[in-house]
This record gives sequence, structure tokens and C-alpha cells, in this order.
Amino acid sequence: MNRKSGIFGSLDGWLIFFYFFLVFFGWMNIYSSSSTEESRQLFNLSTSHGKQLLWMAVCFGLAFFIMLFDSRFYTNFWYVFYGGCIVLLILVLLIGQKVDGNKAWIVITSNIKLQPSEFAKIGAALAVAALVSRKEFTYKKIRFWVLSFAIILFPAALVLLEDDLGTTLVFFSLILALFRFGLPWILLIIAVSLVTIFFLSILFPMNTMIIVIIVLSVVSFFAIRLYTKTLLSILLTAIIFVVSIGFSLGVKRVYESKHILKPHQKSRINVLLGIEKDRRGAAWNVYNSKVAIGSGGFLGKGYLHGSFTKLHFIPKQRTDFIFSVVGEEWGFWGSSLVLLIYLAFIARLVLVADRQRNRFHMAYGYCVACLMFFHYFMNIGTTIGLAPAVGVPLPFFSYGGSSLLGFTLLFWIFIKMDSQNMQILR
Amino acid sequence: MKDESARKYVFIGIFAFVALAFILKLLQLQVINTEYNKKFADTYAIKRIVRFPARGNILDRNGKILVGNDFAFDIYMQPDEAKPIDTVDFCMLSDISYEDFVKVSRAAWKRIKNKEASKTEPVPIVRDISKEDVAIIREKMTKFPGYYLEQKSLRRYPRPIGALILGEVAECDTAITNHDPYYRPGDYIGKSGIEKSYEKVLRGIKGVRKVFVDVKQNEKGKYLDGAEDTVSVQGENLTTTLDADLQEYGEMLMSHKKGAIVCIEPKTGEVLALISAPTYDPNLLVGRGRKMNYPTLLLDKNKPLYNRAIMDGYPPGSTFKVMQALAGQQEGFLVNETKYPCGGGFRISAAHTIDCHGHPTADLRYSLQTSCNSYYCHVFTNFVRRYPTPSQGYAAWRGYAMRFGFGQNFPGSDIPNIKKGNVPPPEYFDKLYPGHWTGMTIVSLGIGQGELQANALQICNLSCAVANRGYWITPHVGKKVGNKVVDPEQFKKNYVGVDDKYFDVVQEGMYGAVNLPGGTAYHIKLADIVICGKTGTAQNPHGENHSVFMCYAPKDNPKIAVGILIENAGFGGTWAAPIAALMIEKYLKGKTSRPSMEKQMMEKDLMNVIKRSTTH
Repeated sequence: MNRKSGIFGSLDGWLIFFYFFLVFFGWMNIYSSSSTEESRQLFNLSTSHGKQLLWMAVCFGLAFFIMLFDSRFYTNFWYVFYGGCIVLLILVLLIGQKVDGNKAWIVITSNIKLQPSEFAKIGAALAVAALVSRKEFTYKKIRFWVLSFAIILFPAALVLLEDDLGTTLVFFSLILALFRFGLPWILLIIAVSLVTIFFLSILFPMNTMIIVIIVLSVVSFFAIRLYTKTLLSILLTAIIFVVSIGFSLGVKRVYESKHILKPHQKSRINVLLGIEKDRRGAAWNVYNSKVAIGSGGFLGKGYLHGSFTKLHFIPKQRTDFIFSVVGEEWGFWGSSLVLLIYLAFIARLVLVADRQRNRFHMAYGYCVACLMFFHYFMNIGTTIGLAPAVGVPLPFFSYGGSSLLGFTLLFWIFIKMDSQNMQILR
Repeated sequence: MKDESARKYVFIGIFAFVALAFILKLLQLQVINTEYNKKFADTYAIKRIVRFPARGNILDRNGKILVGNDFAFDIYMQPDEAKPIDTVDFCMLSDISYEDFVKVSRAAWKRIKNKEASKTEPVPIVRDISKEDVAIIREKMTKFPGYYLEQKSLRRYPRPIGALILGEVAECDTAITNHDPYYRPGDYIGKSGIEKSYEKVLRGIKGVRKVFVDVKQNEKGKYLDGAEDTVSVQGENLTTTLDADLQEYGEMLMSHKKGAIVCIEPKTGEVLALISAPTYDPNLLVGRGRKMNYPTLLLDKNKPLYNRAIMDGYPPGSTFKVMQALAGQQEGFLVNETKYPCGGGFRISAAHTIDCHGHPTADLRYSLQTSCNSYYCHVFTNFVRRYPTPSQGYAAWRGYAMRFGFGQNFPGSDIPNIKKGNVPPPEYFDKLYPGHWTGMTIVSLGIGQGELQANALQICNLSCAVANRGYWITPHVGKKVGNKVVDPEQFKKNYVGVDDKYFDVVQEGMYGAVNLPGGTAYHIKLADIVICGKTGTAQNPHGENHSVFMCYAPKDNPKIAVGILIENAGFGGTWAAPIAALMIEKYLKGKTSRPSMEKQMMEKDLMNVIKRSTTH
């Protein structure tokens, strides 16, 4: 109760430190990949790093601006945000323009383009928070199952219509936050199992898959028996076994069919699994990114000395593959440090979210943590070949005004909520 | 509520698990597998640009240029930048045939497809555009994106001489590039002659510039600020032992003839001239003419690409008697006073006689002067007979021949591809005449015929050994590399195993052959230079005999030794000896005192004499 209050309330120092660290370190890496030895100007708006600097100034202004509003602004008017986002997403389908292959941009002037899907994440997060913070919210009622998934899947479906698979998947990460609010863990286990079986089915022949599934079934039998009677366990295990075999067969069927998956989609899966090694084809970006990161070695080539990443071998160097600059120039120690700072940042978000007295704030905090985590997982996972290349930015790090603005908004709204935590009586 | 709050640890656990997995993957990429990735990163983004240096000049012993350089241009294609072009226009402009263009570019693309070559490695498409033609081509090169001109240097021979000893420079084939990583396909390398043996000093040092390139191959600045860049260094000049004027003169004398002349300075083993005839203008095999001229020369029935001076050769004929005279004395059974009858021939058996000219019974000196066949048949058979078995006797005799340089290819010499000739080992005769052969069986070896084979270099070398009274220096052509004298220790003294005192009578005999009436080469006697010589005639079962002559001059303090072989020229005194005399005069005095002899020698056509003449 003796924490300071005012427009800044009481700010979480750690989170703010992480925010500025990531934004500035990200900018340093954009500068490294965008500047050349001949031109080392900082403030040149024709360069990526110059533009990013401008965006950063805008974002810091925005952060300050957010702090002026009471957090009740969001808890009361969440539906304005959510509705606004949905409108923009529909609008982009009608008047949107293609940039980098995705019809996801609203062009205001030739220099200012907006990507509504970056902001739709915030709207969805607020809506989820609003839903789960309702007193009567429980997963014992089917109504809330439907509502909680509908809130998330509706904008996701609209984004999918823009052909932006990466951002679509981002919305699914909000489902992860629901587990904090009563969604049964078993769903997560099932989802992870299905994804595992999916990839294993592509990698291995059916004979091997049957053995794998039998082993999994036996393990799950003993797991289930901890909770229920033997007879029921046997029945459930049998169901798991049959479903798994069926799923595995289905995956194989789909994968081998020439009509269901498009060739480039199949390629991406193949590249991820290491089946396809065509360096010039689908694997080009990922291959080059891995080589660039690998070439950094333990100590890295030194800041501004990454020969590989600077030479535009990797398309989307400053957005989707910004981590390869870190890998090449800062080496293992530097890139591990960045990974750990992200981990600390997200873990801190979870801890801060969990201490919120207001369930809306808490749910929103979890949504922020899950969104950050998912971006971090997909983006860095892509650059080191552990996740499929779907194209999502690295929070605060990647070049791009929309993404930086979007993440800043997402993050600072939560900072504002947390700053008012102590003002709320339990 | 308590229960639910514990769920935060599950979240943190999942996040930590992912971060740990990522760090392990980074460990694998950056620390465990780093060598592999470093290599790839370097080849991707750093481009090596090679600058070829001009080869070093080759000079004669007086500093005259034998081989120099000229500029020419190649058109290269960079596969990853090449766009479809108007091929007809391109071929017309660069003056190559459409078929050639298609062939070269198909081959290049095939190598890329098979991953044998990188897309960024330029491929030579058109070779050797002269500096006269390049101006008009340069103007229009912008019409052909991905194709560009590259200057290079080509060999130029100011005087059209010495083609075979100087050797040729040509593109590497894959046998070389696979063996030696210094060479890349399309590089030039010395393929024969001096160009081959002094390749390492003549080729210079390739310059390499490392630059950053982006994915479109645009240069983006120097790699490591040029710290690893090297400038190309022109090859060092090589001063040879050859005398350009003497070489040219010899080639003129040998026009319309097949054969070889080798001139060596006996004291040093330095080759003054090495002439093979017929020869050709080395400029013919440089640049664009090569493609047309090479097959013509290769198919010529007179084999101008064949270096007759160092090839397997012919029987040395009577010149070999000199070696015999020395070996016999060293063995102790032959002294100057030893006399063998001539009798117009040496009877091997009732059916076989080796003919001679019916000299008076000769002593050793006189036998050399008159080249008595019977005398040396006796020497040979007596030599062999001194040992317990003919095999041992012959082996000892062969030992002398080998020490004089016959049957060997002068290891350590800088003249490449010298052939050994043939002095058969005793085992050869054991096989040929199983169980039963004597000196008499192979007596024709005694007069330098039979299985013996020698080349002009070896015959000249025999002459050197006599001039030096007991040793010869490995014949060589390198004198100075840049300003550094080629280490004389490299070309060592080879002792023939005959004592100094035995040379008096042999030298007198060779003196007599040229300077005394009745000598076989008396007609070449010069008033002011004392030549010691020995004629020879190599029997040729296929046509007119080959003419052989060896000599050195002056008699005291010899400056030059000559070995000469002319195909189908009959008796050695007729053509070989006068040419040798002219060469000596040219070398020692700069011009001849006998222009009529010179004219006669130059004009004589012995190219097409195949039938054995019956007049001699």
C-alpha cells in the first residue's frame, strides 16, 4: 500500500528493463544488417535502421500516452477494441494490398502502411481477458467452451483469409492462456501428442509408427490408471490406440496425396524435418540462416562484422530472420543470452500476471505472455530450423513499425494494468 | 485458488523447456558443428577474384628475347548473371562458330548441373581475341549481360626459332587440375620444353583479391580490408644457355632436312643450340591460330612436333668408335700401337662380312682418322673376350657406354622428355640368342650399329667428354632465374671412368679425321679453327643411311661441341660434317668464311630422299 501511485502507478522495473533492452538491442542488429561500411548514418529515413529509429520514438511516445489512461478504459471498453479490430480485418480483405505476398496491409500513404492483424492480437487478448474474468466463467459450462474458442478463432479465420498463416497461428497461442483458467491440461497433452504423431508419421513408415503408438498407449494406460479403474483405463487406452493409428494413417494419406497439400506447403514440412535438402529451393532461407548463425561460432564475428547476414543472402533479414544477425555477430554466448533474456522476460510476465488481483488484468497478462512466447518460439525456432517457416516477427526485435507498435501497445497496456494492481482491493 | 495459481509454474516450465531446447540447438550449430558452417559462410559471401600474371620472358645467353608476351583478351561468362543473348550477333562479333559457342556453353552449364562448378565461377567462352580486334567488341559488350572481356597475356616469339626446346604453353587439362590445386580449368601451364621445366618460376604468382559480394554478386567492399589480398607478380625472366643467333643459323642450315643439331659448351654443359628439323614458327601455336595449326602440324608426315634432338634416335654409327677406343685403352688391351688388319672388311662368318674400305693396317690413331670398321670389330670382340663370359664382357663394355651418357636420359637435366635411346642389357641378348652368344654374335655394336640407338644430344655429349678429357657436365638450358644464377652444383660433373692419358691418341685421331689428308672429314678443315671430329653413318634399313657427325673446337681449350644427325643424308662426312663446321664458325667468329658451302648446305633438300642410294 505504500507503493507510489500517480499516472505511472508503480511500474515493474524488470519488465520495463527487458522492454528497452530488447528494443534497443534489436535496433542495433537492424542497424548492423542495414548499414554498410560506406554509409553509417544513424538518422537517414531512407534506411531501415533510420525508419526503425523513428518508429521507436513513436512507440515511446505511445507508451507514455498509454500510461495516461486508467486501466478501466480497457476493462470497460474492451469490446470497442475487439470490434474495431474485426472491422479492420474485414476492411483489409476488401481494400487491403499485398506486401511480401500477404494481402494484410492497409496503405495510408506510400510510406505508412498498417497491418491490422498486428493489432487484432490485442483486441483478441482483451476479449479473452474480459470473458474469463466474468464471475460465472467456468469450463463446466459448454457455453464458455464455445465462447472462449469463438473469440479466438473468429479473428484467426479472418487472418487466414488474408493468406497469413503465421499470424493465424499466433491467435491459437491465446488458447494456451486459457489453461490457466480451467481449460483441462489433457487437451494440451492431446494436442502435443497429435502434433508429435503428425511429424513422426511423415518421417517413419507405418510399421515403426505402430510400435511407437503401442508404446505410447502402454504409457498412457498406466497414466490413466492412476485416476480411474482398470477396466475403464483399458477402454480409454484402446480408444487412444485406435484414434492414434487412424490419425497416423490419415496424415500419411494426406501427405502422400498430390491434391490436398500444395507443393510449397509440403516442401516446408519436408525442410523442417530434414527430408528435403534443396538449398536453392524451399530450404534456402532456413539453410542460409543456419549457416549464418553457425558461422558465428562461440564468440561471434563481432558487432557489425557479420559478413554473411549483411549481404542479403537471407530474404526478410531484418524481420523474420533478425535472429541470424545476433547468431552470426554475437556468437553462441550472445544468442544464448538473448534467448535467456526472452525467457526471463516471459517468465516475469507470467509472475506479474499471476499476482494481479483483478482477474481481467491477470488474464490479459497471461495472454500477453503466451503471445510473446509464441512469437519467440516460431521466430527463433525458424531461424535455427526447429520450427516451420511461417513468418512471424520477433517481439520488439524485428524491423517493422506495425509490429513494434503492436507489441508496444500490447505490452504497455499490461504495464499500466500492473501499475494499478495495488489500487485494487481484493 | 491456490491450486490454480500453481499452474503458473507449468507455464514457466514449458517456456524454460523451449528455451533450453533452443540453446542446445544453438550449441550444436555454433559450437559443435562450427567448422562446417564457417566454410560455407566464407565461400558464399566472399568471392575470390584471381588476376593472372604475365609469364616471365625467356632470354638467350646474351639477353636477347626468345619468348616474350603480348596482350590478348578472353570473353568470360558468369553463369548466374548471364541472360539469353542474341547468339548469332555474339558469334559474328567475336568470330567464333555457332557450334563452338553452343558446345562451350553447354559444357559449362553441365558442369554446374553436376555440381562440379559453381554458378558464380566465370567460364571462358571465347579465347584469344587480339588487341586489334578487341576495340570493336568492347563497344558492343553491353548487349550481352553476364559476358565480359578479361585481359590476359599470351606468348609472343620475336624470332620464329626454337619451337621445340622452348616448348609451348597451353590450357590445363583435368589431369593437371585434379592433381595440382594451384591450377583451375582454363589456366595456362607450360606443357613442354623450357616452359615446362621452368613452369614454377615462369608462371609468376597469381594475385587473389577477396571481396564481399551480396547475393547478386555485386562487390560490397574488401574482405578483411584487403588483408588477405595478394597482387599478381609477373613470372621471373629466365636466361637460358641458348644462343639465339646460333639456334637461328642452325635452323636455317637444317631447312629442307630432317634431323637434329645439338651444340654444348663442354666446360659447363650449357646447351648453346638444340635444333630439330623440320621445325615450325612457335607463333603458330599461340592464340586463335592454335586450333587450326596444331592438327596440321600433328598430322604432318615429317613430324615437326617431334623433337629429334632428344628422341630415341638412330644407331650412332662410327662416332661410337671414339668411345670404344677410350674403353679399350682403359681396359689395358689397347694402346696406340695396337694394330688390326683391315682387309676390306671383318668376316663374322662365311656368309657375313662387315665391309670396310681397304685401309692399310691401322694403329689406333689412324683407325679413328679413317674410321676403320674392321679395327673396331676386333676391339669389340677382344674386349668381350677378356671376361669369363660374353655376358660379363658385354656388361663391362655397356658400363662404359652408359658412363658416356648413352642409354640414359641425363637425370637432373632441365630439358624435359629426353629419351634414353638404347644400349641393350646383356639379358636382352640372353633372350635373343638363348644360351649361346659371343662378342662375335653382336659385333655390329662395335661400330655403333645393331641395336644401339642414340640421339644428337648424346652424341654431342660424347664429344664433350672427349673435349674435357674424361668428364661431361649434365647438359642443361637454364642459366639465370631473374638475377640469380642457376646453381651450378645442380648440374654435376660425370666422370666416364677413363684416365686422362688415354685421351691424347683419341683427340689426335679426331684431329686427323678433319685436318689430315685421308681423314673422313678433311674437306671441312678450317684454316684458323682447329676442329676435332668423327664422322658416322647410321645404317637405315628403310632407306638412305643417316648422316652423323660429332666434333669439338678449338682443339685446345674447346669452346663448343657439336653432335649432328641428318636423316637419309648418307655418309656422315658429306652433309653432317660441313654443317657442323659452319655452326662452329658461326659460334666462334660470328660468320662463315665459306659462303658457298653455307649456301649449298642451306639449299640442299634431303627431305624426300627415301631410296637407298647405290652410288656410295
